[in-house]
Amino acid sequence: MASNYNDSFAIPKSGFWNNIFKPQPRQESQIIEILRDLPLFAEMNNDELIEFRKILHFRNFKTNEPIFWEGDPGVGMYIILEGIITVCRISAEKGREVLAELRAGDFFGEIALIDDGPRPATCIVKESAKIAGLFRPDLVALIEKKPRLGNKFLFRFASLIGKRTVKLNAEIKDLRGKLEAANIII
Amino acid sequence: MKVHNRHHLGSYFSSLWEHSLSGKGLLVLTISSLLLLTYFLSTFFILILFAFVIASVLRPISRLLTFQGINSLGATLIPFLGFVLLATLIVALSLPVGHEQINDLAELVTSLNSQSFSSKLELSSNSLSFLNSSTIEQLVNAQYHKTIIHFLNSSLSFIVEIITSIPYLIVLLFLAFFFLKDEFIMKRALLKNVPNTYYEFAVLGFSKILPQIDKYFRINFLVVISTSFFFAIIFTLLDIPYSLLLAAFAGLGTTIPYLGIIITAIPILLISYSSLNPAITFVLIGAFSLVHFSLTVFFNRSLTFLKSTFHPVTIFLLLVLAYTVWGFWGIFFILPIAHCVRLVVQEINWGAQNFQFTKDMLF
Repeated sequence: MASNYNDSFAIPKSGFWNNIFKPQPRQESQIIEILRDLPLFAEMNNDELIEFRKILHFRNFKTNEPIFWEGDPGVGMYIILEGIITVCRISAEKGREVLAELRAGDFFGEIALIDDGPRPATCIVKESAKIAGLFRPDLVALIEKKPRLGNKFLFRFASLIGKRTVKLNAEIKDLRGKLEAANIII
Repeated sequence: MKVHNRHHLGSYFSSLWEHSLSGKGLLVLTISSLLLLTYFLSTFFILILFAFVIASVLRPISRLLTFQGINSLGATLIPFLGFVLLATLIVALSLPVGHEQINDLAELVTSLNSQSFSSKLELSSNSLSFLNSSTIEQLVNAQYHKTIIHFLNSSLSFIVEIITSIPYLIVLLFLAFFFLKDEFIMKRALLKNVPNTYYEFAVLGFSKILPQIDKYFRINFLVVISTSFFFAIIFTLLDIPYSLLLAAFAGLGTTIPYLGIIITAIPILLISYSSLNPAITFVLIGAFSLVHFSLTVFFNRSLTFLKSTFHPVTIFLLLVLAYTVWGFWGIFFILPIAHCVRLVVQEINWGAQNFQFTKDMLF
């Protein structure tokens, strides 16, 4: 899906009236399909996805270019449209420690949509990437403007975070069991 | 040793140059260039400023309509057309009085420019008799005459500028409409050219600065309009000459904390002194000061969302700067501009402390 991604996501060059009665750009459907595949937007209809598409910011990154650093204030989440991104921790002692590698269709930094705390890891582009950013200020504006849509999104978001927490708890329990079995902790 | 020092000094200056260019130096250069540009492109900047103010005032209504389920175009058009209609109605209602006052003003300015002393505006010798000095009386009269001429001249040229700028009015409405409708698209278009390193900070900065500027302009506009309206009624009832001009002047004065009251009271005192008896004039000025002071206090309280306000000395220096660069009416624009610049600087300082723009990449 991401390979069908068209390079030009800029506002279409159009005349005066086209600007007032904006026609849907051709690329919009591609972006909407990408959004539909993301768990955050899975239950949304076409009109709702269009609202989210309107507030996306499209950026191109070169290889080795950082997207954000660990400790930076969280501003929003990113959806990878093309390329590879590495999530890592950088320290003077260990150098670069890769935590995950993300590809087209993946998303990262979603916690920053609701929390402006520091980023827990650094994200660096491994292979030149095209990404779409969904930022907290724009999401807040959308929630204020369209509360019903905002509620739907936030409910879905909370549900995903809840599932992730349950999964993490299960992993911790499993790990604890293994450590106890090996007599490492009592 | 000397060589080492020179090398050290050289690298110090080179790093200072790079640092200043990449950080605060670049910011100072940008702001200075923009201020310099405003001198040459004042019409362009004033148009943008007014369009932004109109959009700021209408934005809450537009958002409310969107909240009610009206589509984006409708939510923009309804408040916009309402504003245009209301503005047209106000102009149409005040036109007969305004027309008469502008004609009077033009005649007066012509006669004042052609005569050494005006018979209409000259202070009566009785009012200064307590001085017991004809020299002081003459000097005071001359100074009074000079101040009035300056004020009336600049007022007239400002009015003439407004009347002759009807094409600009169309551009202004056009700009205001799109500022209102395409706020997000314009913001994104501006952000598009920001390098990736600064992008997140720029997004955050915009989202913090714009609502504050919006609110500042909105409150300013509403206070100016309501004050002007209030004083227009009072001055017209008291039959003070150029009531509409003086009312607009009094309204604009509320935008200047501390000093606005003095700046606006002077011409009102001078003009009303020539047409009313001294006792009524002083009562009027007392009432004017009280109302103006209350409105300014209310206005400043409603601006608590701004992190800090300017010190009176800073305000005074800014007013002198504005008067020198843009002339008499510039003093009413300098503080909003200064607030905008200050917000940008504060935000950049915050960003420099919290984001790691210059971190070395460890690969």
